[in-house]
Amino acid sequence: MKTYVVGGAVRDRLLGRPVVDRDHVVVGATPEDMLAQGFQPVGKDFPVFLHPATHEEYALARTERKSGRGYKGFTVYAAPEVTLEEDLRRRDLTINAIAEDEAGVLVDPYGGQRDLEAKTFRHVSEAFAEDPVRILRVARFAARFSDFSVAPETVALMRRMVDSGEVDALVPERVWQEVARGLMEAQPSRMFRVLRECGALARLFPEIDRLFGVPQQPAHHPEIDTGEHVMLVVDWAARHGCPLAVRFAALTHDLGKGVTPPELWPAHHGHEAAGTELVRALCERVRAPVDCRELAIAVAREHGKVHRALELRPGTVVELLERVDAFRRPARFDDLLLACECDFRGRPGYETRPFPAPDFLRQALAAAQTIDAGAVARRADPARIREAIFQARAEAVAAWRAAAPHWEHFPHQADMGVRGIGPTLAAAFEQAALAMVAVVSDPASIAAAEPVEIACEAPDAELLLVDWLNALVLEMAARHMLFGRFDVALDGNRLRATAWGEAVDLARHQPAVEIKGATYTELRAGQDETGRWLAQCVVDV
Amino acid sequence: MKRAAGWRSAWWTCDMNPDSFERVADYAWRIAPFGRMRVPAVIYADEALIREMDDKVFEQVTNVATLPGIVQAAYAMPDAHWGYGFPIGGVAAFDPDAGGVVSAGGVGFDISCGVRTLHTGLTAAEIAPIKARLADRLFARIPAGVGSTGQLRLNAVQMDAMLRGGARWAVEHGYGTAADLERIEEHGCMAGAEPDRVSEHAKRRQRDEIGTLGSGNHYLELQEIVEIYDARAAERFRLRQGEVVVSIHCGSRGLGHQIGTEFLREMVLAAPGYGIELPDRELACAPIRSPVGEAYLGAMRAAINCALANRQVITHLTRQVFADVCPGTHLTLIYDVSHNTCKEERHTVDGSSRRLYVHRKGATRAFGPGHPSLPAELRDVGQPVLIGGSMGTASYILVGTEESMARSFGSACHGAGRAMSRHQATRQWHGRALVDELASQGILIRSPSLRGVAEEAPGAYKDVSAVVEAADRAGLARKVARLRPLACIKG
Repeated sequence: MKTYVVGGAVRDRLLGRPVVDRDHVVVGATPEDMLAQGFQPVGKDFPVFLHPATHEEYALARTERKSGRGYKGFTVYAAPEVTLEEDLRRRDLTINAIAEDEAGVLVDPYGGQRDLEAKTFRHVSEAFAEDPVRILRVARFAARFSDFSVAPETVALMRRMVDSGEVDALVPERVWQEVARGLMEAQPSRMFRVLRECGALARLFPEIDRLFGVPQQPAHHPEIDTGEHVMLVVDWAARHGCPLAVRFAALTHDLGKGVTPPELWPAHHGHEAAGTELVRALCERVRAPVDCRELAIAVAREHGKVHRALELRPGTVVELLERVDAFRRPARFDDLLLACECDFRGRPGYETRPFPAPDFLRQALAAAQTIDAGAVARRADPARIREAIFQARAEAVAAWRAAAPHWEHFPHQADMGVRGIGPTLAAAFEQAALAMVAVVSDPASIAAAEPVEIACEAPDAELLLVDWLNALVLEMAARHMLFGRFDVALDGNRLRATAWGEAVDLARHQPAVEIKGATYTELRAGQDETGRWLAQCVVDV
Repeated sequence: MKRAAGWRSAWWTCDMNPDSFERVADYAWRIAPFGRMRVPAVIYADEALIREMDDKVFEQVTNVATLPGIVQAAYAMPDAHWGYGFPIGGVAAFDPDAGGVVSAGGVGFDISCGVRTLHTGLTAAEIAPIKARLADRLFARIPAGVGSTGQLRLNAVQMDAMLRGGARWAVEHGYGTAADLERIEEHGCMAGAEPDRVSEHAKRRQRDEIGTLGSGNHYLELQEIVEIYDARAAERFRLRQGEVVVSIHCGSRGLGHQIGTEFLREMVLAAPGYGIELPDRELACAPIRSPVGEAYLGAMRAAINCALANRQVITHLTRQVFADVCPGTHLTLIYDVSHNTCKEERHTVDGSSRRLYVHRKGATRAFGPGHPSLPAELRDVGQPVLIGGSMGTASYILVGTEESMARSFGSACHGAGRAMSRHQATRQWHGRALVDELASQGILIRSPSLRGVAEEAPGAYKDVSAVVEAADRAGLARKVARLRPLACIKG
């Protein structure tokens, strides 16, 4: 009897990666031999034992033969005469089919070390085709070893397996298990790309496969393709250590875009509603756990609203908070916001852009939570308790909104009024600058790539506001830049500021008009009766 | 000027109530001086236009009437709307000998923004098969929209030469012909321009903006002459029904904006020192005979030249496109008018001839027949007055009248005037849908910004026909021809 370490432990040691579990194979022994040495038997299908001291797994060398569809249809043959090479031959990939004896000598009959060197996933033998789960495993390995690629002959084999209908026989639980594990790897997009390459994605997740080739609005999606967007989104989620439910929600948030009639492309009006039903059906099919399902449905339905959070009226904000049950389930609400951030960041150039929606909604929730629902309910007409609580919460959000730093436009017949509001005059100046930029383009579309220093001085705060805005107009015009972030410091009537921005990009920024100058019309800079600071004027466009 | 509280609340919240004016003629409404007004205010409009006018027009035109040295009256044209200090569509003249002022706000940010119209010599039928190609080529050739730059890069010496020479400078550099200059106000070159008075910031903004259209309400349009009202004037302007003209609407670009910004600030700070109490900071002004006033006039005239040079270069680019697409055409200039200016002109007031500084803010000069500054070949008929409509609606060509000299210092309206804010417009219209709808009416829109198109939706403007009708009836200018847009390059 001889024992070897096999599989992942050998592979990971050779790759210099940490070894988690060590699996052993035992050649030349019977179950009785094992029991005699004190090993504990586990499992009823395969002859596997636990070491009495280390509790590591020891399996008798065995061969397997396909006897039916799916991954359960196997006949297992374990006997003392089964050789190590025979045992290794039934394994999936050459890199997983290297054994190491107790003296540290490697047994590598199928070229596993060569493939590790070449960073290639290659099947050991045609026996690979006997288990369709292996397609999922290869894809999952691709997500973990993201610099590896699948050997062309292995891709071809996987494609044949898909074509023969093997994949369709996979049980949902097993599909979910592998995909969930793959999502938790370093680069989940690789898993979906491998599945897509062999055709398995279209069979297992047609809703995701369909997203490739569907264009989106270039102004909001520089990557254009919806499938590519979703890949960027899941990878961002993985890079930032998001939990499984968030990664899954990130994966499925845009399923609705796959069913937009092509004549409406690149617009996807109403994709949230269409997507919600698709996510529900997908979760049903793969038997996704409840937490994953609930979050994915909520994210698919609400991500558009979350992105537009700053534009929503207070009542609409409270409706959103109530719909996603944020009052009772704040932790899941955080996950929802995180999934929406993944969606935002998963676009080229959006990694460092300001994304104020989550903070805004968390603060709105905090404001709404100051309402004592019980007290409101006791005062209210019993038939209208819900409305009364909603009303009180909406008012609380409106009051918070009025005090929090923000900007808005107000009408002027020929041009546009810009207004910044904040807890300090400097904050109001920053917000007024954002309001002015928003006359030209969406401030969120402007990357804070290059800082420009600005200083000005004026006899009073109102003139200083006009000077500040006009200094920005001049810098934007002369440098052909747009600014999207401002940091203002005031010292009496002296202003020092940094404006961050980037060169105008017509396709991405879609600038609507040039600003000729900030004017003295409707000019105010000061505190209102509620104590908040306002800075406003009309800009000539 | 501060009006009593009762006045304010009555006027603040509603559109104008014509009962409060003295109707001095069918199309003229007079507001007698009250408070610190030195002269009356006069609004030219029909009753419907008066009712629609924002009450801010009333406030602003009466504010203008309080400024030192104002002569005769403060005027508002039929397209008047809420502006900065002055209403847009405001006209006022000041006498330097009577302490008269020049106001940076009274000229505005887009100094010498204006319109010029060119004959193409082609009929609408001839244009039809090449219209889309022309539109595409013009859109490709003429820089439009935010951040666009022209092909010219001016160094400091060239910049000053351009600011001194205006369209004449452009023609000397190969952009157009000497014949063009005769058809431009001031013969293409505003005298008294002082490039030294123009800041480095303003010049920096202009470095690469010569020959660019800009954005907002600026455009280049192909228009068909669809109706003739005055056969004699039309004959003299060579306007024939069915023929196609090109109209270019743009101004002095970043240079003018920066001059407006800087002098507005300087005048706001300087006004108290000259004993001028401003009812509205936007009315910032300084005596014509003061260092600030003189500096502004020198810089503002340089900006007028900048606008004239800009329209001249764009004309040249337009001609190149026409020469490419339909060889053999030659575009000749009908006329070039400016809307936002302050000009020294001789006018007869109470029987005596005086040199006055006439501010036209969103108003067109409209000199009548016989005026010495008109080109010889048009002197007996009067000045062509070019009125731009909004994107999908009509434009008009009018002619200056003798009466307008007495009624509005030889001034008329300048366009439709906004009826709705940009903000409202974007909520009401969708850029793409608008472009498609106009296309279905045979009007091609080419623009770098769909949001910009929505903000300029035809429905966001007043009915230009009503404005023109009122100007005609009020005797400010006489209708000659109506133009229908065929294609519009929108900044």
